Amino acid sequence: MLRNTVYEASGIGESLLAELLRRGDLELRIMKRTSNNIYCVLGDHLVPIGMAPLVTPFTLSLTPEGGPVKVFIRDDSVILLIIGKPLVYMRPGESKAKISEWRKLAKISSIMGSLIREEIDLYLARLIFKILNYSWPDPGRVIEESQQYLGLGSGSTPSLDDFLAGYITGWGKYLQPKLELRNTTQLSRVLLSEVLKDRDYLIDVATLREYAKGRGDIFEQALRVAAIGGTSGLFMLLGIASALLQKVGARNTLLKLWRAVVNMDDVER
Amino acid sequence: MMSLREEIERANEVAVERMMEASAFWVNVEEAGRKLNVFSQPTLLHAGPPITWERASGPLRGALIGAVLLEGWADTPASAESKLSKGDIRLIPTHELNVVAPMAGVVSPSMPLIVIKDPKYGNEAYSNLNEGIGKVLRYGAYDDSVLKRLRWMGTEFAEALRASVYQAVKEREGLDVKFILTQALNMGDEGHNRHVAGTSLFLNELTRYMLMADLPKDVMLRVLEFVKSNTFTFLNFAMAAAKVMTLAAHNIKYSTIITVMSRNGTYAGIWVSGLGGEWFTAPAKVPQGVIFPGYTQEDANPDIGDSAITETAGFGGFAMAASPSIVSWVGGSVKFAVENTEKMYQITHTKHRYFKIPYLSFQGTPTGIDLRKVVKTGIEPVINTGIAHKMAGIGQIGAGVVSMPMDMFKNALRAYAQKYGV
Repeated sequence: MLRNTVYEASGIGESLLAELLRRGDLELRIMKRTSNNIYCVLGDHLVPIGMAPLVTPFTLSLTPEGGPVKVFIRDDSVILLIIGKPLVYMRPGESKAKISEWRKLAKISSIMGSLIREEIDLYLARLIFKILNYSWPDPGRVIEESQQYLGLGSGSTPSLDDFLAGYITGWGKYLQPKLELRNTTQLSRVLLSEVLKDRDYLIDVATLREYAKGRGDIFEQALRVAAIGGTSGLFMLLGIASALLQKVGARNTLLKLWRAVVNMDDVER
Repeated sequence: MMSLREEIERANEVAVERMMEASAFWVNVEEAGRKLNVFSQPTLLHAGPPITWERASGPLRGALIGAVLLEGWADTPASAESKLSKGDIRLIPTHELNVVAPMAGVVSPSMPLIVIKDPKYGNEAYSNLNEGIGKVLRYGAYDDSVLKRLRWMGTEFAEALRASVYQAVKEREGLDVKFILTQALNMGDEGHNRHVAGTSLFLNELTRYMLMADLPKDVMLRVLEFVKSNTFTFLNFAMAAAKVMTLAAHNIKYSTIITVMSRNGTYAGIWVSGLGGEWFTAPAKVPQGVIFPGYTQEDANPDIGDSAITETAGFGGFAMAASPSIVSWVGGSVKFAVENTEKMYQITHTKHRYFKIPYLSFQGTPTGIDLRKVVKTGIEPVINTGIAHKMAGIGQIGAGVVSMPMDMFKNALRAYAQKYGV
């Protein structure tokens, strides 16, 4: 748990940095404290703060070694002051290149997906399998069918929401889904609304989408996504892998991927 | 039809169950040259993943030179070095022959090997005999005092141990090393860098068997004095026991459990149960800890030795919470020791059924390192270790703590995904 004290940050999202440079300093309202992170609000944007927070254009990464952004944490607010040149988290941008690395992505996603253990998450995985199967090849229908299960799953961002965050990021700007965000947690509602507005909001996930086009080491990036939170990263990874496999028309691989996570007999039941 | 997730879970359950249930009986002491079928040409074994002379660290080079002198393959350190650098002497990793040896881990044909047997799963593992701390071969020292001690260990000491263990085999299946380890963890050892209890318990057994073997009094006194003055005597027995346990968990299809973690002073390396004997390596880190007077942290060599087999089997650094006294040897605080054990639960499959931690309400130690969990959490396995001087010929300069580098786990996961992923 982050305490009420002074920290330093070395990494900062590009949008938060732009705002900080424009104003000189910033005072942010704390929306939520979790066991490892603080979530603040800047305008209508979420600002994740922590030692290993979700990387977005508004993120602030605290560091025990010290960094160029001073961070004063109080009960209900956080004050930021920039004193040097920080590491900047940039949106990767969406290229029109073809997806070439989907086989590798499916392989690593199936292995990391095998770490899902909670009964509720396995139940959810079975639901997602069914939705992907009978909605093929329509991503709009996947979103539509998933709507009723929003908020389902473990964690402060429920697993189905994490799947959708990865799935929507994976489809990129070519998919303009409509999602009613009422039936979920406050944190997830804000995160998903960011993703709906900005397909590069989840920088690590969006970078994975681009690496699937051969722009970087897809394996290393997939592991970065898998490492997010407890199970959040695992569902985000499965979400983006599902989107990319749909995009390239690899239906068999997509079904195999989900069969790697959930028992086939249970799905058929 | 099982999902891949279930296949992995089942395989890991089998692997870790076998690791915990394996038995470990000391049954013999044999000369390496007779026991292992690799010495028909000049050959030396070394700790960790494969390495060449050119890439070998100072302490490993020192130990190799010492072993060449011990075998009489050269008369001087310079000529030993010349033979090694020309490739006249073949180098083989210990683990590939089911041998484990601390630090440089150099084993030559005339050295005695402890034989540890697991009748339950039919495996055997071997280790050399522990020389003590300070100026010793395994830390890269090779002067006359080192070679003289090794010669005594290879003759009178080995013969006394062989005669004693023969009595233990006659009486029962041999000396139960796993039982001693279990007891020692309850008595303040962690089983890697602290063996005060383990060596005492071992000595209790050994004394009785030496008497039964009717050894000459002066021999017995020399042996007892040597073991009593070296609390690390039991380390090599514990390591061979750990090896026989991890062997039982090895080669299980789909299993993501780590069955070897080792270092050669330049690289660290691992094996994964479901990936056979393929090495995955990364540069070894430099341990941090308590440095002996007269040396500094700058003198420390990167991590070296097969002794991380203890953590691989669920004790050593993973059982630090059982051993508050260890911090006086490796540094840190008791709080750190407890936190470290607690952290290791996040990357392991289960809690050990027999190795318990009194301070944690007799909870089992974290056991069965899961490759996927290491990469997912970013938590590197932490081990307790000795610190060797980076120059050949000097020896031990301290003891401390080090973590195994993440890159080799990522490399292994990449290969695992290639083999088993959809």
